[in-house]
Amino acid sequence: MRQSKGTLLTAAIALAMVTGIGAGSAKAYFTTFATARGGHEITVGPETQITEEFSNWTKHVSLKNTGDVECYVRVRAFAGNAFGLEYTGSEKWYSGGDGYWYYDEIVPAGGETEILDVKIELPQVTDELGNKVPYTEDFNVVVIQECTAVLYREDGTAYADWNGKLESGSDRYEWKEETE
Amino acid sequence: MNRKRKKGISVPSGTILLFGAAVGLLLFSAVGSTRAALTYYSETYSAQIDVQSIGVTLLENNQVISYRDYTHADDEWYEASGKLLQLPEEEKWQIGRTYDAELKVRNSGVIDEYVRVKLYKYWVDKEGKRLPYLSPALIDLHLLTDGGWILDENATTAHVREGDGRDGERIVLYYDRVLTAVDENGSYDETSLFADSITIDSSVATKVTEYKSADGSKITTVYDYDGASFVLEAEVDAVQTHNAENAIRSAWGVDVEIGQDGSLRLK
Repeated sequence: MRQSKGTLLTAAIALAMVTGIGAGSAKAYFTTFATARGGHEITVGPETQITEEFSNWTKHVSLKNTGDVECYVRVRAFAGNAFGLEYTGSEKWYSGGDGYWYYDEIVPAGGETEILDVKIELPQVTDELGNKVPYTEDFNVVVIQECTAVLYREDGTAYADWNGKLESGSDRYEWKEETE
Repeated sequence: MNRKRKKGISVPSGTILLFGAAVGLLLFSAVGSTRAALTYYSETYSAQIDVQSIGVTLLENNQVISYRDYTHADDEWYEASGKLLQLPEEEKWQIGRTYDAELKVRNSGVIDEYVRVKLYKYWVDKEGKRLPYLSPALIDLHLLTDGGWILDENATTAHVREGDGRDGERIVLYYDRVLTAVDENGSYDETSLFADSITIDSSVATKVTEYKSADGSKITTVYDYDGASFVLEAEVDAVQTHNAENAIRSAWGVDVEIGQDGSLRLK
């Protein structure tokens, strides 16, 4: 009888240990996952180069996109007060009413605009003989050119933001010494 | 003395046998536990004990992008990982333009499941190295949280709404209801959209850094985002609905509350 009790006790302890240890490890859950990624390179910072040819008191101006990204361009010419400037040439150039002439098409990377003619109207001066003649001595007519990145509205319509200001010197960006 | 020694060693053979059996069972049990513990997170182990099949699929604009489904019949995982935000060949991504990115999740398995989505957005250079100083907030992924998706505010570090000061990479969303298994007609259950579009903010064209020469006579302006690539990553996780609270805590490490109707709520 005493042996039987001991046997039962041993068996009970063994059973408890076996079930107790096994209880904590029998958990495994069905799980799965799926992943994906995607993205694209962004190119900003257009670069253009101006070409001027001069004949018949006219500057023949064109711009070439020398960067890697499409852009919009505009030009403006400056001369002394006595000199008049008349803009002609390709119809793709139009006056913005702000002194700039704008090209109405996006210039693709490597592309070039059609020619804008800037005719210089020389002032009349009186020569030694009292005749009215055009003034042809030294003077400067300067043409500046600007380009800006092509931006898009939500619907995909392209536009240029000529009034956008570059942002620098924020908390994140500091002036850095050029290493070269 | 002899009688006493004899009494000490006269343990009944039945008891010894039972004790030996107990030790044997105990050892066997421990080995089993160790195996279970070692393979607790193992997909292979899960597959072996899986008598049903779990699966999940990520869709973009109604196209299957990535999936990972277990098929019990073949005892294999079928999986594929595709590319998001694909453009037609030769087409370049346009700054400021809004592109469709209708993202949702499908239950492609044969058991019900809960799902969550982790999204990461960031910038990399041409070698794929992360550029942590460029702003993920300018990668404007338009989230939709009114169709059952819950934004985990604690786990989310990214800018997700106007006026949000955060500018980290991560967004975590939980779907608040059960995604049911494919039905007998082969019809899949899908979540509502958790995002519908993506736009690269036009201000990337205005962010510059100015470099000054040593003598201060020359300033060079460099566009910060020029040549950088934006990246959107998505990870969809699915877990069984049986014993869901424990399963989710174990698999995802978060505490949730499951309602009587199966609705999920973050604690």
